[in-house]
Amino acid sequence: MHLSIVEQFRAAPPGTLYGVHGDSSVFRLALIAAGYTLVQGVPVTLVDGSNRFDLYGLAEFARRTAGGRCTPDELLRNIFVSRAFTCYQMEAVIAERLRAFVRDRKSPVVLIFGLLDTFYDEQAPLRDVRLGVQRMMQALQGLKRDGVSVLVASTDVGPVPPARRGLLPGVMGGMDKVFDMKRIGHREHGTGPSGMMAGHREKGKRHSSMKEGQGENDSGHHSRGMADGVQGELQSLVA
Amino acid sequence: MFTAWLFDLYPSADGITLWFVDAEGRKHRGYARFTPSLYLHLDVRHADRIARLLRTFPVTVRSATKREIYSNTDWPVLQVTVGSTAHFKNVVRLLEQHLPHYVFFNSDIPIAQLFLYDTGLFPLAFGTYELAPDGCLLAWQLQDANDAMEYTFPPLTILTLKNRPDVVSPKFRKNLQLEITYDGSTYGLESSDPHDVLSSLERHLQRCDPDVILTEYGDAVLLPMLTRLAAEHQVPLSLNRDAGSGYITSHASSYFAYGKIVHKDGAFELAGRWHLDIENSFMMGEASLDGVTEIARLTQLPVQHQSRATIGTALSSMQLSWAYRHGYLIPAHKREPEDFKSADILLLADRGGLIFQPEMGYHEEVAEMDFVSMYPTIMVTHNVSPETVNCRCCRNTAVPELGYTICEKREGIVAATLRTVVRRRGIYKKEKKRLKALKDPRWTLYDHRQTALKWMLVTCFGYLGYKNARFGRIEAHESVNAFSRDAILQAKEIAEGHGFHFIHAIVDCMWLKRSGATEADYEALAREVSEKVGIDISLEGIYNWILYPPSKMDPRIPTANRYVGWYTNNEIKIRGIEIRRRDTPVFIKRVQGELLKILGEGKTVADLRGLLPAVLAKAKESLDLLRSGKADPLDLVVRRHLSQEADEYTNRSANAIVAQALAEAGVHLAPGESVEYIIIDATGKRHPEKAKAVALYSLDDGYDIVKYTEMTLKAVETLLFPFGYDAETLKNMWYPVPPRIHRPVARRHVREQGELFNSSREAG
Ligand SMILES: [Zn+2]
Repeated sequence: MHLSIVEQFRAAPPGTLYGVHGDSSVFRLALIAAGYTLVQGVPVTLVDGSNRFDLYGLAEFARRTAGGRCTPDELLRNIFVSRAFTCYQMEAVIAERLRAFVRDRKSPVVLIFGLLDTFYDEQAPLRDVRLGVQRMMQALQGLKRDGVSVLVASTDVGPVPPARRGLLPGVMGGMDKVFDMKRIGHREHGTGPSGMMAGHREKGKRHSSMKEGQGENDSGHHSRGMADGVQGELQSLVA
Repeated sequence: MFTAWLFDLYPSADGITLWFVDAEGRKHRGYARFTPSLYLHLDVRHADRIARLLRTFPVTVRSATKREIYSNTDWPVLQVTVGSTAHFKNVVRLLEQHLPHYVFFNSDIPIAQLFLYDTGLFPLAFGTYELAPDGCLLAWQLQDANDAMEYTFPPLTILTLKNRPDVVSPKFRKNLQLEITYDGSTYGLESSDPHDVLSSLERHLQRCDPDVILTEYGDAVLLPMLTRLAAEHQVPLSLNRDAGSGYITSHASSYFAYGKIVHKDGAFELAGRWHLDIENSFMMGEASLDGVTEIARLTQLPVQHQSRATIGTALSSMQLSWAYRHGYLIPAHKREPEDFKSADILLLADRGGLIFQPEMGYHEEVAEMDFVSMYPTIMVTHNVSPETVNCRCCRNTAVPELGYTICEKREGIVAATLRTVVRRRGIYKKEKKRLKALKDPRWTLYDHRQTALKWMLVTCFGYLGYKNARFGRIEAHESVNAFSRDAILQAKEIAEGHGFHFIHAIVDCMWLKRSGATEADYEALAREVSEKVGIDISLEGIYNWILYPPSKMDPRIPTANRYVGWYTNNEIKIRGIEIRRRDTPVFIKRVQGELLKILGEGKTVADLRGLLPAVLAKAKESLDLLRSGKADPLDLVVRRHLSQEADEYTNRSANAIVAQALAEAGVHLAPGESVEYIIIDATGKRHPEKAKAVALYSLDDGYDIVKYTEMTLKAVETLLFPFGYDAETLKNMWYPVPPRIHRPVARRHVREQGELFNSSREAG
């Protein structure tokens, strides 16, 4: 059951835009979702705007996950990373560079960590932020047309200036499928079966838990449940 | 026509107002017409649209080509020239409403700086200036250059203005008592009626007509308060020499830098005089006015701005000027993202400088050799710059391990600007040394200048990787690290080839030994390493002994950059341990210093063992004093930085309690400012207040004997752990039962002042 997000991501047709948001375990989960592609020897491209991308964790992941089709080194050579530290860099890399790079490297899967994190910096004027998000969304649509699948992983914890609170729901609204980790974690912990599915919405349906998620900090209770889940997935991949 | 120094400049309705001071101290006022341009990366077809948009402003729009720095290609742009400096900002603001941010170039540089870049003038430029009868600058002929090594200084009148001295800083006071000093006399102004004080101040300003007003806390407290009171009491106050100009002010800010919150007071700059706030100027504190003017000349930042600027701003200004002179477009925002890299390369690239961990404990007969200005030298000699690393025109694998390309066709902006700084500092250091040997008092001038430049060299590497550095880039930062690792490895190989044994290395310093090696042996090694590696390395000294203390986390291993050792020439070098830390109470610093003095008598580790009884006795004597309650509470003051506003703390830490108590007493401290307090009960069990701010402390409050004992024992442990004495062991040995009194009411003692180690070496 833990594997449903990962499995769905794997089973989805090329050119699907996925959004996953919740606590910081979303990043590990996204990496695991892309792990399958990586162990097949297929390149994956990662843009990190969260400054939380764990390079050494990835190396460890490579060491444990690789085998059979590719060595850890091959796996590391097949994941391409660009880190952005300001919203202008994030916009530039996604809107101006990503599509050409992915085409060039024939990388069918793109992970984006913290797409909006740098846009919450109040040093950046709101008008630049709006334009940046708009251009990035256009770029993601371009990737979709090219048959590239994108997984946008974002945390929805931490302070977001009031005027920018609509950005994440806006971005998630543009995805084909969205997973709300907090909801999943909650259901899973409480009622058990089908929890994973409950948090995900098909295109066009209102995403009911978005508002509740905002500004509500993770209780240790939820995040522990989630971390265990991710750990489980990691184990199953290694096995 | 007159010969003078360019003293002050600022934008005004005329363009740029200029003030000159000549050799007789006479002031000359003038102005320059200046029509700044910004550039829009837009097709010529947009020219009409832009012109229409800006029709209410005095602008011209024309198509042009300008060079883009990364691609090194000419871009078609629209040049928008604004006929009046007063409208420049408004023009930019209007355009920003209609155009995306990425089309803007040269649009956000302060006008006075732009004027200096454009004319090649600089603060304190000495030359002959010709003004029209209405004051308009017609021509000038400089007998000076901004990178001249020897330059002259105008005769300036300096007035010092401060709140009357007191043990309490002005931030903690409210009443108006001023002290003014000029022409060798000091005047105290005090009255219950602010009107009297202000009128008196105004008379002094008129009489002295100072070029420079030096203050303490003038930015944050003094000048805002004086101008407010002057308005309330309707007293004219000629702080500005230019009566028609307003004050140039900015707000205080707290920002996150180098892993901690830093507080910066706002600015309060004057027109036609310099206001320098020594409490709001890193450079004034480090390198005095000599350092401030050295950097202002070099960076072309107006002096008042420079004195308050971060080193990053100074470096940036040199780069902006260079880009402007070379016709490069200056982007309004840094946009250049990190190149996509495979994770295996990223793992290699992401490492910092090289560190060889030493063995914890005392080592004897060790020499230290330091690469001189390693990072800037690498940037200069290897041409490491944001636009030269992985350039689009060359094919090579110049960067060790990473295989990045470095451009062979053009000199990079970072390399070019740093070259000057590296060269100047080298010359000033030599001159300082020469004059000092001759006991010529001018050596301090060169020392101040080289110190100011040192900070630019220390900062330039970090700035290259700083996210908001306009000409910074991660790959350039990674390349410098790769070159530095390569340099240390080369040095290690050479040293080992001569039978030296590597003890420890951190980034650009290495510690090595060879039994019986002499200074001449190390000097010979230094020459060979310098020559082969291409970076000068110097023998810092030979230690009788050096200690790498245990880390706080795991006592078995040491921490990089924490050590202490006595050189054979009886100088001591201390890094990172309690005595060097700003947050350590004086009492503990003194205890550790006394123990180090005793240990300094030992030439070998065997000697140190012999000195142990004396060291232990001294430590116990100090602790006994502490535990008797007779220690001076002012020696127990703890200094900490605040990480948030007083009302934002959710815990009951000593920081929170002290900040809140001060807030209640009417003293507001922002994040990044420091608080000083005395711990009265760290546990909070007997006294929930835990600690008291120095400003609110009374002798009846006493101090927490248990906590201060623990802190002192930790400092003793730092030195004695290798001999088997940790804090716990010492405590059980000396004080097996808890003290009868926990919080003695202290008696204040007269105490000795002065540094413990006058010969202690400074960093860098
Ligand atoms: Zn080149």
